[in-house]
Amino acid sequence: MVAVALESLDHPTPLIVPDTPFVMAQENTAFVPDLMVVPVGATVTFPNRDAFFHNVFSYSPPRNFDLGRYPKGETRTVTFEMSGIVRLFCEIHASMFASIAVVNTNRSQIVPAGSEFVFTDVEPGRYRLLAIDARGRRGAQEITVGEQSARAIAMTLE
Amino acid sequence: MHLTLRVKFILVAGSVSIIALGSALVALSYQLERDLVRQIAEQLISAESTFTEWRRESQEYLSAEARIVANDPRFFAAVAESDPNTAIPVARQFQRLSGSQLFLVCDARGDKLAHLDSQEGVLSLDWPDSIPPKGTYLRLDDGLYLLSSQAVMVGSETMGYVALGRRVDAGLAASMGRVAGADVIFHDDALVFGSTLADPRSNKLIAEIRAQSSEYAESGSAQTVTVEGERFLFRSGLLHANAPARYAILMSLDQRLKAPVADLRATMLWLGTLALALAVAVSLTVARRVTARVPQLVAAVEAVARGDYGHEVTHKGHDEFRMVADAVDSMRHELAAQMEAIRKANAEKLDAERLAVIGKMASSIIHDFKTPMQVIRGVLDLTTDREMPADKRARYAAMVHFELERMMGMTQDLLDFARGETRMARRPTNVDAFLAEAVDAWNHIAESRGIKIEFSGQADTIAGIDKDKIRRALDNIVSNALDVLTEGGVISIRSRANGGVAQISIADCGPGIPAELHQRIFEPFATFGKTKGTGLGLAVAKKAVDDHGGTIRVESAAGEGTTFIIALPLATNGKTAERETQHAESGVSENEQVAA
Repeated sequence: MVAVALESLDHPTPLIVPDTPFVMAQENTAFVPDLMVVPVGATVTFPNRDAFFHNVFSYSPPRNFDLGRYPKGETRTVTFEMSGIVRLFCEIHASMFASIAVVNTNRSQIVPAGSEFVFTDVEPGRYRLLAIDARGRRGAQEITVGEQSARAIAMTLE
Repeated sequence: MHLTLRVKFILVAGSVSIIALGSALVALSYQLERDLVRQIAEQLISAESTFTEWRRESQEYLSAEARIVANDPRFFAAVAESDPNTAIPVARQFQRLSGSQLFLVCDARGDKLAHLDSQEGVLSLDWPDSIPPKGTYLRLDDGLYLLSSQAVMVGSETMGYVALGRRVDAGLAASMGRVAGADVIFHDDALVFGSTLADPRSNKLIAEIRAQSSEYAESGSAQTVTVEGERFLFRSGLLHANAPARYAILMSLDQRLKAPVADLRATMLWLGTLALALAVAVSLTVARRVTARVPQLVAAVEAVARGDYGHEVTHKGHDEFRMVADAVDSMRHELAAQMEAIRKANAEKLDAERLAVIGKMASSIIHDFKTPMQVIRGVLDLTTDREMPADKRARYAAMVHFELERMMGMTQDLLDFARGETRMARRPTNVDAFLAEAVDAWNHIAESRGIKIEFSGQADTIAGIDKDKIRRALDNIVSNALDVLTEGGVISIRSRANGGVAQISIADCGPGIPAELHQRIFEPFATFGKTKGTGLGLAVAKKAVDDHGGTIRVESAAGEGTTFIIALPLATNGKTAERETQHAESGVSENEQVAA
């Protein structure tokens, strides 16, 4: 899966941060979902739904944190105040990893890799289009949206 | 130096023990050293195998460490950020945990994220190509490292690489040497990276080993190298197929031989002392048992030598001494039998000789007495003539007297000879006076025959003599002279002192005695054609002179007369002799000597 987001460079608008937190569960020794895109200021909860301990930590500069180890049924919460890619791991289970793209926009969506995606009601102006996958690979492209109703863009992640 | 049999036994046993033990020590030491060298060579091969295995395990351990590090979420999370500021603190923690001396991290593009070692910044590598995934040896500027690298993955994505290195130094040599039980040197040509030995010694050893390494490569066996007088067995090889370094694994022969050889020597010393003591004890016992029988044999032989043939040799056992004892006993019996036979033969011979002598004597007496008895009978017939002039009568009486004297003398000679009489009454006697008296007696007869006796006494000395015996000796000699002389003949008698003896010579001018008879005239019954006498006169004379410790000899040649020379020992003390002479003349006989 790939998270895509469209950040306006000309018309920064106040972000709408939902009251209910985003949820990234630890389930069957995996982060579910393993890719998430949230606006800056959003809060994410990490409930442990497995029968054993899990841990969540990140060395990523936008949000360096370590939630410690906690058992089934407990949850931890992190608020992301800075945009960027946050790579998440469990120190107990090497196979568990996930990424959260913290973006300055509410225009974002998760799409399958290699698929097409559509943003509607986009005002004309300059934008940065971001794409991030679960392993933290990213792509970014500045685009200018004109008066035309639609525009097609192809992106490759690195 | 004369040694007893016992001492010889001990010396021989001791010498044999010492020689045997010395030889055994030399042989055993040589054998032990050879065996030990072979064992050490085998140990060295075993040590090298252990060392190789340990090296392989070390590499695997390091690889496992790298794998563990690479697979740790904390680590790959840090690598995934691809940011040195994030990677370095995490890498430092993992370096500490792994204990590796070199810790390298790079991202997937090969950009360095962290490089932790003692000399930060000297490393320049092209990641990831220059580091193979398996363990290898890498020569860096500050030394030699055993290195193992691992890709850092997140899922199936390579996020970067990590490499752990262990420095090949004295510490590694020490731990490898401990495991292998040998000394270890890591080197590249003359450069020593690490060694269990002190630096100067390592350098010298490596120099020697490099000189021999070509031979080593061919022989494939352990080789000997000597440094500072100490011998080492060594094997050498590359640390890894393409490693820029070699190892040498060594064992000091001298250190390993010292203790066993010393132990052997100590053991041999103990055994040697024990064996020597045993040898001495056994030889002493044997010698005592053997030599204990020697005195018995010696006593038996000495008894035989004394003529004691009844001394039996007691013997036990069935050894050579028994043979000697039997031989001595056999000799004793044989000698006893032979001596008895000789004694019997001698007795028979003596009896036969005695009978022969008696026969001879009887014949001689009968023959010799016949003539004087005829003379006496004839004279007695003549003396019946009453008108015979007085002087003629006196001459006949002297003839009778002379013949009777001769018969008495012969009788005395026979008696003396038959008895073998040796009893003497020696008295100090003035030789000249004694002779003058005798000459007077002989003159009566001599004058009746017209024979002259000249006497010249110059001895003027004293001799201890039995006058009767010496007188009879002289009578016999003079009588022989009178018999051989004719009217007008002269007998010359002289005496003189000469070198401690009184020398008396009686010379006649008769027909003389042939030289070949000179030695035989003193034998009994040697008359040599003489018609008068028993043949004992000169034998009796010689015996008398011999009994006095004197000598008698004859000087004569056919036709030139005969001279008898008698030498009698003088009395040793003049005064004593003079006093004894006086006693003798007064008939007192206080100093009678009896000679055996």
